[in-house]
Amino acid sequence: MSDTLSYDTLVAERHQYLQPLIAAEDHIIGYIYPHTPLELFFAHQLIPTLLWAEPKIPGAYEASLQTFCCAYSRNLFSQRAKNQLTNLTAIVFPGGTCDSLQNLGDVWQARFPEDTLLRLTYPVAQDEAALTYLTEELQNLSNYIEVTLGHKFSVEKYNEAVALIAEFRAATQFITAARLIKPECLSYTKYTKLIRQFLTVPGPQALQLIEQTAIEVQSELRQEQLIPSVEALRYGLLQNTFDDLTIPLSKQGPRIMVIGGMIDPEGIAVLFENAKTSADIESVEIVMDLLSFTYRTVFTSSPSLQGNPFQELAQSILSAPAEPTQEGLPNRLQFLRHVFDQFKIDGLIICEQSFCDPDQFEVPDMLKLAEKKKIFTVRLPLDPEFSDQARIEGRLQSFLETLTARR
Amino acid sequence: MPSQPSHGIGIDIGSTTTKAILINTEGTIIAKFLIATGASAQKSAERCLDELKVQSQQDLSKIPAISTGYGRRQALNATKSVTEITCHSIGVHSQNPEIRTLIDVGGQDSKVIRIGSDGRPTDFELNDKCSAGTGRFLEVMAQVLETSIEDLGTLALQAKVPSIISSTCTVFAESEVIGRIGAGDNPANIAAGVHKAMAAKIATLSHRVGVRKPIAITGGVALNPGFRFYLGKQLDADLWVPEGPQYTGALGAAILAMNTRE
Amino acid sequence: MSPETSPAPSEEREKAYRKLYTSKLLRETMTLHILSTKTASQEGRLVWVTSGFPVEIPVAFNTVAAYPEQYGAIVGSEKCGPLLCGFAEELGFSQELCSYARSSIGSVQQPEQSPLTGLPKPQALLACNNICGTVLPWYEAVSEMTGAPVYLVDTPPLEGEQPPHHLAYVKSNLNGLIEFMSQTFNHEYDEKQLLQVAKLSNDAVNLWTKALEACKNKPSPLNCADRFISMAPIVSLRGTQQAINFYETFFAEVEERVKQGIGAIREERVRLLWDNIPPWFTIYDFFNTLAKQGVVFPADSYTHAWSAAIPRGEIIESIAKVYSNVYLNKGLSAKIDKMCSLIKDYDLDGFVLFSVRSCKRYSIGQMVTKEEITRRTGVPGVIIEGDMVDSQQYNEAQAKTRIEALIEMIV
Repeated sequence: MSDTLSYDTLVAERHQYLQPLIAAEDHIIGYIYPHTPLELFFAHQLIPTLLWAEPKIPGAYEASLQTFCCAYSRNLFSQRAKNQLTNLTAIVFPGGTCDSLQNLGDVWQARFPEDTLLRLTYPVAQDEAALTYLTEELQNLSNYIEVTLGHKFSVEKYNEAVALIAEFRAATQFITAARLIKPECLSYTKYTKLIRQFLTVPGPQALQLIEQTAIEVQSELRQEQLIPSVEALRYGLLQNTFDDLTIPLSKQGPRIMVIGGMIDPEGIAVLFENAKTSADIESVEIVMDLLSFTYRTVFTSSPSLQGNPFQELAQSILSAPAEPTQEGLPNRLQFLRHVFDQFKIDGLIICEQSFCDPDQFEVPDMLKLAEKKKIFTVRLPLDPEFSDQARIEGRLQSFLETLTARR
Repeated sequence: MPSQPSHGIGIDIGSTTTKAILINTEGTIIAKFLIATGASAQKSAERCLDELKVQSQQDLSKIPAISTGYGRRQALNATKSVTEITCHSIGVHSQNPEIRTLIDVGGQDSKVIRIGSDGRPTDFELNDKCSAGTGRFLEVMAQVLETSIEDLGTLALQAKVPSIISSTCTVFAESEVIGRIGAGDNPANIAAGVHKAMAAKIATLSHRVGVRKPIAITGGVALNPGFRFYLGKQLDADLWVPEGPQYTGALGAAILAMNTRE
Repeated sequence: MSPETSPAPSEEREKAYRKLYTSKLLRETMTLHILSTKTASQEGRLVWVTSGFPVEIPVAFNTVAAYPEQYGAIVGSEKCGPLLCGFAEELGFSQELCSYARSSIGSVQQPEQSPLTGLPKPQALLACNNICGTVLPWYEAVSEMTGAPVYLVDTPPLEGEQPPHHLAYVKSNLNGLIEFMSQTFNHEYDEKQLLQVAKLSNDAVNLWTKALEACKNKPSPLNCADRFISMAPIVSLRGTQQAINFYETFFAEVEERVKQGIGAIREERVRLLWDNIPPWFTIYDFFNTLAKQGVVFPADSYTHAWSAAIPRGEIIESIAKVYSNVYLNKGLSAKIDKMCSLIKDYDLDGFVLFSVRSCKRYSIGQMVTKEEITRRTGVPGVIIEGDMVDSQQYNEAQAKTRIEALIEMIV
């Protein structure tokens, strides 16, 4: 009755995705923060894999971290302590994004001195000076990788990676925009699975699956002459100028949006589907999320091949949209206002990762805004270790029941 | 034309107790039963249904049943499961349609529900991960004070000056209470302090939803006069308690069951 | 900060703890400061700043600074943390967030129910993330409530020496601050004024540092609570003549104690290091109870954070250097080094690490710290859990038992 969150199949899948790389003795580098420059690691012949939280890991952090360290940090540490993070050449930790992850890096290095840790420290500001600073940080990181790991920066590999990530973003941006207009074209579960797979092992294989799906979605929407709208929306989201677009939205049941930070989107999809089944409400669908590993990653602009790679990468990182680890709450609230107005959102699921400052500080302003726009909200306190799946699904089911009753 | 069934069964499988109710079209309660949930939610639900059968002398197999509560999916004989939020809202509305806010404090969960004029929930809040602000909190404190959970509230009402218990974390508050005992505070004052701390926690949860009067209180803790007193003070309101406040969720489920089309 | 009732002289002799004469002057100084923030707010020149903010710059712009963290300490000492935090929680702020932030937001929401009716309304919110990352989202949330604009001085966390690109970035942020202040307060930047303020700031910092270092003496002239309470002006009046006036008197008293061999506590048996912000709601009770057992805290990692003077050189660059290199902006190993050297220099017998749930930047890593300090210095330590303002997160009995066990290990 009191299982903690568990999406067993997702965990198994991750290992399955990684197997071929391990077999081929590729150099894999783990990363945590969504806006880690994947292209830079590819350029150094390292394959970046996102280190997802794994709910089934028993807590093994107690002797090193307090419970008020964020849930994601605790979970990663437990994975390491239980020897689940093998086959990694190095792990790159973010600096300056939040206090938990900042200190986690130090604790990790003290506890596992045999691990190779890299640190990329991000500016919180987004101005010219921040760009210069981050460019230098990236250059230093590149030099450090060359010295410590002996992997040289290859322009050819860099160019390939830029193309790979840009294609991933373009295809996923298209699907995201298409789902906003016609969510039935691809379920949220499938959508998040495609992204999760790519971020676990970014490569041509995962990209092909996404592009294949994009083509299928495209042909479905073409029949309804919706392609120009999808493209206009995609462009609008990229430029953050969609507030005066006229978007034809399908007249289906309640439209749900998910908001939150560094949580597993596919995990949310699993919880949502279970709640939907229990509530016996078919027509409701998650039409959009603003999570770190989906929207904020996908709608970040890609570096251009012209110009200094480090500066281009820095520019790309700083362009991440709606990212609360950066300065600018008023901008994010303005963005949200447009989203609520334009995309006819009926319900909002607010995910709060346990002890995550950037997530939790924004919640009250989001609640206020949602209330003003008459959008019904539910908060999900998520902690891979302590959250009780039945309770979380109960919350979601109540949310769906109430939402339907309100309509 | 599909017709409404003439009876409905509601089963509320809470983390501490399981409650079941059988009602007829008039909304009259024909049978009801409550037992400890114990280790098996499924078994306790079955036990409850057996008892309804004995009490009503009816064949229940044709009567639609809706399960609710934490273990709602474990009830194999239920037609459908609906969350306790919706069921409590509907249940209390049937007993008093004026109620706009419902505070339910159960064994391991507490919730505040804002109810619309149609009896459906319009907003809700639930307690967080831990047992702060639930019946469990009072249960632990009763043990520490070596009194029964039934007597704890009455004891609290005898207090002259409530002790200061600042923590609502069950573990921390337990040692605070032990500390107060050690400092020689009288048990009534400590009991009052415990209720005051818990009432403050529930009041915060209520303010998140936005309290609208009149307010009802249900769940096992609604039977505790000490808690009702301190919560009423915190919210500056009278609290309405329905008859059988533990059964509100089950009643709502039974009403929903009866309204399902055959 | 919290008005402690002055004991009658006859009673005082029985006490294990000696009160500072300067505490009266402290109370006067801080009362005047509070009044000046009210006036400044009315005149449209009040800024709220974080404790590690380069306050010399706003002071040079003739603005007055109020400190929400210090206000949090008052809320804590007045024991209304849970009430004010509750107001923020009602708005939807998680109970898991920093209690300085929660009580500050709570006081903005319900000033009439807050001590001193809250801090006066700010015209600008100035945050520097050299102490933690929480200050930015906290100030942004306050900005949504008050309409005052936020300026962030971004000082990315440092590992080791400050590299040139880091220094350049922080300098650019400080130049941005000057521009922001000029525009917001319609006041021209005057380098001479800034140099003057920096000098006043350094003078106060030097006096404060000398007082801290006097605690190397046995018996220690100051205990933890003395320093935590007397640090108020170095935090909120840095860069003003008032701070210097106070610390001159304060240091004179400390010197006098040293000269006469008077300790902060009557009988000094055990000397310990304190790490982190104190539990404000029980600050006197906590340290005085231990004083009765002969336990004194001659050093702590917290009040030493205000002991770095602005170095000579180009003023903006000097400010950038000193504020980038604060204790909390550096990695764990720098913290461990600092605590080990305090233990050595102050000849301490053990240490207490206060694990403050609100303060992730300060507290996460303490488990490693504890082992490492003992390994390097050979002295034992203990971790106690709690919070600085939210007494709901503090278990007094547990904390006391742990410290008693530590003392038994030492004596």
